[in-house]
Amino acid sequence: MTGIFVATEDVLSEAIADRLIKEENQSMYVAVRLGRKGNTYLKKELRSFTKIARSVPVLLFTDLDRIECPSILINDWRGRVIFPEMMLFRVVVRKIEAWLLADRQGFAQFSGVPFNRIPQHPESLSDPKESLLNLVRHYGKKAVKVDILPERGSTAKIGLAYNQALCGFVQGAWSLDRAAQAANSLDRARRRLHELRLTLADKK
Amino acid sequence: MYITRLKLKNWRNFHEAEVHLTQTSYLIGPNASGKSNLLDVFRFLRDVCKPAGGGLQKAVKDRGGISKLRCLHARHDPEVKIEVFFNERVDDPSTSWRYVLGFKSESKGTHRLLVSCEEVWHANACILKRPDPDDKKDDRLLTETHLEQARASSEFREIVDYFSIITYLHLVPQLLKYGDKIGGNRLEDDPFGQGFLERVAGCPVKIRDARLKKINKVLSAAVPQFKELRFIKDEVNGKPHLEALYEHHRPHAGWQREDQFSDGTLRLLSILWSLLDGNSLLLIEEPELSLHQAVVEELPVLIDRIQRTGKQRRQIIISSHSEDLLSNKGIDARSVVVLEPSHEGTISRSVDDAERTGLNAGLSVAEVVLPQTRPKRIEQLGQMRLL
Repeated sequence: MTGIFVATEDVLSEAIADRLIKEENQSMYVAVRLGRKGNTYLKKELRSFTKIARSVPVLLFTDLDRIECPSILINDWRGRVIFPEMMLFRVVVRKIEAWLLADRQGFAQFSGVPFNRIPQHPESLSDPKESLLNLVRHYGKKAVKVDILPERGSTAKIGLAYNQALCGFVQGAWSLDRAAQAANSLDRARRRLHELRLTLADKK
Repeated sequence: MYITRLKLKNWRNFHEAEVHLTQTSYLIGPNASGKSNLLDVFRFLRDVCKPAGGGLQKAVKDRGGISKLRCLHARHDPEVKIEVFFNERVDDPSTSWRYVLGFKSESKGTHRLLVSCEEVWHANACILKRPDPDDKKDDRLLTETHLEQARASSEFREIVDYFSIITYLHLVPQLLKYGDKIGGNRLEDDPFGQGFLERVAGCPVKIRDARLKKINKVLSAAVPQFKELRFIKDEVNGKPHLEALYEHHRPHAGWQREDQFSDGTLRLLSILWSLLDGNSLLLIEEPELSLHQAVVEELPVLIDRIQRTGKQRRQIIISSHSEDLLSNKGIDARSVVVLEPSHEGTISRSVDDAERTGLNAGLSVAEVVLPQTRPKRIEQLGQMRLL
């Protein structure tokens, strides 16, 4: 069995990482979960993560947000540090919500938003989180609205149960296969994880 | 009915304060900033309303007399004053009821504690204004509030009813576990949960079972290996008990009684029970105590879910220091009340503009607002060489 470190910005990204590792399945499991404290924490601890990745695989997800392209972000974060082979530094284009929307069928089923209202290319959205919230605001089921949207007049951007509801979706109806077809960054993350497993298996 | 605003003068460590409250409010501030004192205002009003053994005199006496109650910063004006604003709905801007109570001790003679003002307003109409001519004729009338007298308060019974069922919760697990060994002294209204089991026992069977079923579900998710919860009465002495079954490597380990429960299990249990019990204003003191971070993180959602199951969503005020509790980004900035000690007593404020900018940028209350409540010179604590 290969234990793997998962470092993410938030609970939702962690749920996705869990799914990825679970689907890769064969002899991989999450050994330690790190992060959940936003991207500043990930950036600050990057050196420690690279150190860990010399002996144990590390899967790190960070949102691209408004930065132009992943390579700019990576160069900015990495500086002169060289990532070991087992460091999977994956950039989510542009926010983790894009990967959720990428499974249009699953998201439609979960949220009640009509299938053809969900964008075909979620990675081209400038703010996928905002798009997700707006879709739910306009077309969502009541139960999903209550969880995900803030109450009327609230200063909060999201509902109290935003993470709980969307994590539930990721753990349940969300299909990695369908999502990977519409989100290139997800597909690549999945492929790299797969390759890593094969390399590790070869070494053994 | 909801309390949307509270104004205080000379109440304990508040010289002057105004607090805005929402459906669920979070009180944050350093130690001794007055979080519990603020919650105590509501308990005080409840004590004044109590039909048996209540009243202003008793409520003040129970708090060590007016000299203990009055703010130390009250120099020229010795009056303690509480002003409560009620709205029918939280988002409704017009005040439906307003209750004002002021009291101070006489400056001469036996220093009796007298009502200095008592007012009730409904919409914009004044229903009660004291001292009235009767009070002036006979100042002994001022030793009692109208709030505590059924006949005098008949026109504002809604307020009395609201105050008298306010619930306060701060269960201390050890008091429940070792109750028999410590001895049975119990405060009125049982704020520390020594009589928690009696309260559960006093609940009608059907309702109790339904509640325990819900609590069971939550506990099985929050407490590893927890399987089942049940309520029983001891066959010998008839005392009520809660028992839990755990999934053990030893399947016949049997049911464990509440004195074997972990502190966290007991705290979570009591929080859940009081959330499910009643519709009144609920005051919860530091719900994060003894609970694992992951459970605390889920509390805002759990509380919200339970609030929504009732016919009318009840109002809840939570005092907390917990980063995990306040890390939920769905928390409305308007529901946060920040208490800041100053030379002139504690100041109460809402989330300010600068902090709002941080929240708008996507940070949580735990990241932006909570750090501002750090004591100003806390680093000295670690720099001291005491030994």
